[in-house]
Amino acid sequence: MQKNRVFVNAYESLSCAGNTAELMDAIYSKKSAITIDTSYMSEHKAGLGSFAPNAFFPSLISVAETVLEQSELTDFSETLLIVGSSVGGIGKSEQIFFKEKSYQNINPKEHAISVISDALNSAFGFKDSRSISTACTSSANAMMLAQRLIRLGAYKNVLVVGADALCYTTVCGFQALGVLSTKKCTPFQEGREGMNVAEGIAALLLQDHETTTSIELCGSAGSSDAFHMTNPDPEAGGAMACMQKAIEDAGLQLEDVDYVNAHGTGTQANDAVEALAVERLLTHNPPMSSTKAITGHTLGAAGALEAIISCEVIKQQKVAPQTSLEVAENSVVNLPGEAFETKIRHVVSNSFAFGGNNTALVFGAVK
Amino acid sequence: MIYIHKSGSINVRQEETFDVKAAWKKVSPSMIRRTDRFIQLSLLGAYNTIGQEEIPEESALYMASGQGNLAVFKRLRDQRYIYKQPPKPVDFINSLSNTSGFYVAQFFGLLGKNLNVSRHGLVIENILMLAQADLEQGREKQILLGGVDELQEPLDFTRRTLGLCDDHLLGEGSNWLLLSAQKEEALASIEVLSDQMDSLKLKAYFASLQQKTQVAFGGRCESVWVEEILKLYDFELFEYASECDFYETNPLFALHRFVEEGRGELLFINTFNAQYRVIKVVLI
Repeated sequence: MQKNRVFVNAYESLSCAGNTAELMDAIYSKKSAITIDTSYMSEHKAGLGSFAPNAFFPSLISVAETVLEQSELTDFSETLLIVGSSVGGIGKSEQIFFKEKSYQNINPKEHAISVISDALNSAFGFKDSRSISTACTSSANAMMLAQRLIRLGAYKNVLVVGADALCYTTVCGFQALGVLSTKKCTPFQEGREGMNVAEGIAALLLQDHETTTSIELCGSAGSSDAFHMTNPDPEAGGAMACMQKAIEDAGLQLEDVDYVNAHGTGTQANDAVEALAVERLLTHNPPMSSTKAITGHTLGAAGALEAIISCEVIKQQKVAPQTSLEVAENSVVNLPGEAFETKIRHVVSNSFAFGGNNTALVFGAVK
Repeated sequence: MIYIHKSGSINVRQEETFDVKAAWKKVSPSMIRRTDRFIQLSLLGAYNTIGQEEIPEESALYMASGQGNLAVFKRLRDQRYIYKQPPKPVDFINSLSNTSGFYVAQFFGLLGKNLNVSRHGLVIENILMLAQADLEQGREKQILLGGVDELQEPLDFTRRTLGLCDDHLLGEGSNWLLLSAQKEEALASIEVLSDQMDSLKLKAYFASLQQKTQVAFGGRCESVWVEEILKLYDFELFEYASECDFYETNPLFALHRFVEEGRGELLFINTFNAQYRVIKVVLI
């Protein structure tokens, strides 16, 4: 079957490091935007990434609007919306419950995962929408589904939005699991403390035709560890399988990968297994870094946010350095201490979630 | 074209009680700890479909739910605001949308893609379209696809969540299909028509049908409209609604019942926000 190619033609993001341009500046100059916070847990410090307390939904609309303005589309009436989110509207219902200590006035329609797509639909009138919720791989899976639908010819335009707000459930939930860092996170560092929860919004317009600024979404794949609910397979089988399948899906050889945007949460379990997977699979040792040292872990938004970072790395032909790294736990993988310019043809962007849910995306410069 | 190779179901009506935990314990006593009712429903429905049979480990798992695991969110809220406690780790983990998918994948040893799709209305039609795209492109060889909804008290809150009127009976269920692009040994073919239609387009589609067919309707279709369609086009109604109260993923129950007891061809028509989708099932 002849498959359509899939191009990322417009994008914008908002994270604690600002918009996409500000984020890339922060990444290349290694300036973490994480702040140390006690607002969710007065008795515990936690590094959090926050950008717009109580302004999440207006920011969501504004980010999507920026993408629409960058594109040739005059409206989204022939565009499919796919949202990746793990939090949805939980933050809103938390605020009401916190104030009233009752479920009575919670609007159920504003609680669900699909509240993000509902809000975007009312603002822009998409042809259709769906929401993917697979925790921290949500928007990476949304990208993968968009790619498949465009390849099949089912849609010409798909807007992928990854969006998660900070809320009590996630901050305190990760604290209860003992994986939050009290400091700015240090992915891949020996003796690292844990992750920083953050909020983020990222929107990418995927289309079946290229423009002068396109980046190609060449490949994608998912896998399941089926190993443990909160721990990845220590042999890294699932992580390797999804990267390998995504590279095959792109029609590439392993050595065609020039940079890996790692999931790199800063937790003990994730970083050890991801480094092992890259060490074993990509033996040509391409540079790898986790930009969560700058943005924190934006959960369901992370896949889309890091897709944008991957596109920017290709456009700028400049590798993102590993911020906050002094001594790497895995001394084999290539974690660059500084940004540097080089030829970057293809980037693999990894996303891994609890439940051993793994997704890898492959981006490339348009040939 | 894609095909149904197995179908299975748990379907519980509003007035029925069903001890899911006890039923699942009989199947897998070791996989009870840390699971809640939503997860047990997911596991039991998938088990009723696949049983002890082994399915290829590369098979993908696609799950959908109308309202998700709302019960665990209530527990998390209560822990924080009533009992002034931090969230219990097990409840936080179970609140993730892909937790049920993990347990099902672990039980059957599935290493393929594992997805969870959420949507207000037409969620089954949408997840079937994704499965259709992946199977037809050869991206997946086999997909275990399920829809799970748990009945959540208070019922008026759930009705509000679902946008239903006060007298709507609510049920719960876990209904699954094993799908592939292979016709051999299949029970039926299944296709979601690519066009989302308004009422006029749908009627034009009905008028274009060459042969008399059986139809079934989703729970959001108004009964007056259903009567009108049945009269206008001389369709034969495939009756499943008398066995099943409303939950968002119950179209899979209708398809399961048709695969079990139907004959010939079924058009399943469902609606949300004045838009219609049609699923066509042809028994082999």
